[in-house]
Amino acid sequence: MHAHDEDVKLMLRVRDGDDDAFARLIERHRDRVLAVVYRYTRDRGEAEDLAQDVFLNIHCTRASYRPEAKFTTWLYRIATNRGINAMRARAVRKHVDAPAPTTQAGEAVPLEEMPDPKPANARRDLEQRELADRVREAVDALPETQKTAVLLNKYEGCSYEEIAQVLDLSIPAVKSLLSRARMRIKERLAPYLQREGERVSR
Amino acid sequence: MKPTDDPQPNDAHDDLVAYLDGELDAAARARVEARLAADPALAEELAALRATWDVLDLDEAPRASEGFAERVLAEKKREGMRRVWIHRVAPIAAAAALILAVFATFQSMSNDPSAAPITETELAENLDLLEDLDLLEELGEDIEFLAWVEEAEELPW
Repeated sequence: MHAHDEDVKLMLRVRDGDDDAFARLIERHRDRVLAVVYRYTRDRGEAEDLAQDVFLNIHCTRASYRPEAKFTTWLYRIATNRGINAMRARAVRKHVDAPAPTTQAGEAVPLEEMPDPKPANARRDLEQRELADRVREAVDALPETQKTAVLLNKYEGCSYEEIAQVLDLSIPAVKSLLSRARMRIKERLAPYLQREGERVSR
Repeated sequence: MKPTDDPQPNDAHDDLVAYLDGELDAAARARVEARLAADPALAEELAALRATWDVLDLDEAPRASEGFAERVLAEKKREGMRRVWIHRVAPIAAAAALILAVFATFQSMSNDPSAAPITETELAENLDLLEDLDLLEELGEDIEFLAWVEEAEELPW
């Protein structure tokens, strides 16, 4: 049992009907739950609703809680499931943002080929926003499991072991998953990073 | 390679990524470092992977809005009320409504000279529910009463 885990102690109090402990648990994890579900939905309002659902689900199932693993492992499992379901529902609705400009081959158009008559500072801001958009697209283009592994590893700082528990995979499988994901993102962002490197070296 | 192709990393690449993530044991780490020292292309790949990972910081997520915890707690309370209504009050109200319907049917039949009259026994058996019907309907919409029922359930009766 992870009795030293502050979250586990709080969750055991929640299990016994302590609302103050539940409020404390929400305060401790609301931002990370929101961040996880947001990166699946890319919609703040929907993400807040989903994050609320995650905590209500935790409260609903409190009676069956057993402190056998880190609390966050359980939390991330619920949050990623909610996020993935929302992402799938969104795909079914075909409610997607306007795609980035593409070439006939479907490849993203490098920024320097896009018309931009703005002054240097404004252009720089635009480049950063453009790069942020490309980064988001690269993350969103990952297969579901790779994306979940990246979100947990990069943004939540989860170890391979914890990701393996959340995804119910072996540690070598997580290692391979993250390797593929990083290679895929690197290839997708290579043109932008190369340009960014050239800009910095100028 | 087309951007849509899934890249095919190998064990060496997996180790390189795990090295960046600090997930290798001392022996594996030493092996990777020896290879990096001997292979400039591998060192370049490592730098590119690191730069890619760093740029993911641009994908920012919002923070929870003010009052998030309060909203979750309020919703939890509403959920509790709904459960009390569905599991406790609604069945009683439904039963009372059903009996009232039966009673009304009997009453209309009693206006029909050919119909059998309602027996006193039938009325007496359901009189308590019929008398309480209005009260039950009111209670079903009374949040304080529902809260009281929920709390009462938790008492060691």
